[in-house]
Amino acid sequence: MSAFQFVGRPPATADHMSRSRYRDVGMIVALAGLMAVAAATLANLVVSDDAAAERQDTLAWAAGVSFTGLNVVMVAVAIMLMGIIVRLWMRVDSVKAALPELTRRQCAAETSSGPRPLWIHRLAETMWSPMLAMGPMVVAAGVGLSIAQEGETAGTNAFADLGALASGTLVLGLGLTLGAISFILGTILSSLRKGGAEVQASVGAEIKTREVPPTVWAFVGLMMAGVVAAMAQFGLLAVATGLAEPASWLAWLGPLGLFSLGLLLAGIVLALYTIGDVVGFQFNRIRELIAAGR
Amino acid sequence: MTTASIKTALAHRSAEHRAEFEVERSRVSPGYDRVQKVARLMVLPSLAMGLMGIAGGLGIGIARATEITDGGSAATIAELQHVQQGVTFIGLAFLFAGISFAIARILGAFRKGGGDIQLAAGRTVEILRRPLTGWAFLGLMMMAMMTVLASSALHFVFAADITGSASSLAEADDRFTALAGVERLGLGMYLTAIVFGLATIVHVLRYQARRVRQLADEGPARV
Repeated sequence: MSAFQFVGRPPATADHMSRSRYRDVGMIVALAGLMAVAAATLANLVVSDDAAAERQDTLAWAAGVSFTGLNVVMVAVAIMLMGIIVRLWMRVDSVKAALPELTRRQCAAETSSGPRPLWIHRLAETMWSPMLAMGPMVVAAGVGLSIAQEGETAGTNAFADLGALASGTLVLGLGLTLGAISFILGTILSSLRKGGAEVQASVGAEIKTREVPPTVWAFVGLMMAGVVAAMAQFGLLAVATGLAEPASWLAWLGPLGLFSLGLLLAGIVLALYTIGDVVGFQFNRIRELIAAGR
Repeated sequence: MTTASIKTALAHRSAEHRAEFEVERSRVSPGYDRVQKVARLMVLPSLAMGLMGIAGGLGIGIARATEITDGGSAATIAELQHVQQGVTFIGLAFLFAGISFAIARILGAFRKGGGDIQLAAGRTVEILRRPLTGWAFLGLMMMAMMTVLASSALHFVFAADITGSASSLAEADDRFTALAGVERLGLGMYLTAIVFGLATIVHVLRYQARRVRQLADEGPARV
């Protein structure tokens, strides 16, 4: 169960036929974020023909708006994943209700012999909500820096330093939000593991759980590397702003920021890949219970 | 509330749900659809391409930093800036495609698994038709991929166009500014596509929670 308790297992009496509020809200939030990104893109296109010195102010706030929009859509992804957790548990309750009839087995007293949660599951369940709170806050700080940059005169050192800091802060914020999404995916994997065991225990069958595949460890490694790289680029950008000639630093720290986001996205691919595997395994197990009764 | 009114309310609600969940009926398990088959094949290659792209982008960024430190020509530095951005965004496009394919793969697991279970229980196989969010997921994902890949290709074209004159360098900077916005819009579209893909998973989970309870009440399918 999450730290804030606003998402997790619904009571067994919850209406499984009700619409998902998370789904409706998530789609609205995503479209709002996409509109913000589109507005910032328009600003970029409009000023791209202006003289370089004249367009810097617009580019400063457009970057802030654009990254904020991307962060809003990422929050929508997180909202949708919360909805998936709730619906997965409703599905577990439905399968538990139907399985005795389908397998011709009596309901059994649930045992506690299910698999113990892995450390990564416990970490994910604890960490997703603080990370999800931090990501947008850091992005908001980055937007503040973008606004401060717009107030400076283009071409000055202060303008360049604030620009570098703003970009580093915005990338760090996106990295933290992607980290939160990764932890929610870890929570989904944990729910699948617990729910699968619970369904099997409910009909007194032997509990079979899929072994932890190597993709899970690759996911954890990529996620950690991504968050560390995002933090490193932010720290190094802060250092670079104090240098007399920061251009050579900025030339590789910008790509390092995108690299860190890429590592987090790669971790998310593997987490979703693993979820696909686990779902397939669980369907096979239910089919086995129905067909063979054990 | 009387028993009759409860029955009426339940019947009304059931009709609403039938309208909300359009299904296909069959006597065999449907397996994966064409999109899901492609997605199952493409997840890991997309991931590999994506990782190569972002690593290549970082490498080019380091090469550009070295060029700046060594006092290289302004034209080379501007060319490397365009090439680096193009390579990195190709990598990000493939990583987002990998996420989209992985979501389609999960949807495939639900489709095939749901059909297999209904078949194993000897019931009529009912498979949810692709909802609107599923179509929006596919459409947005393809638009996003085209947007990001087209802007990456333009980076390479513009890099080749740089001559080293002041006007050419200024034009390269203008073009970089315009493409930066387009790329971010592409990423926003990708993320929105992912939201619609996940919304489709929520829809499928809701349908399956209802269908599995129906299975217990239904009799075996007539052959």
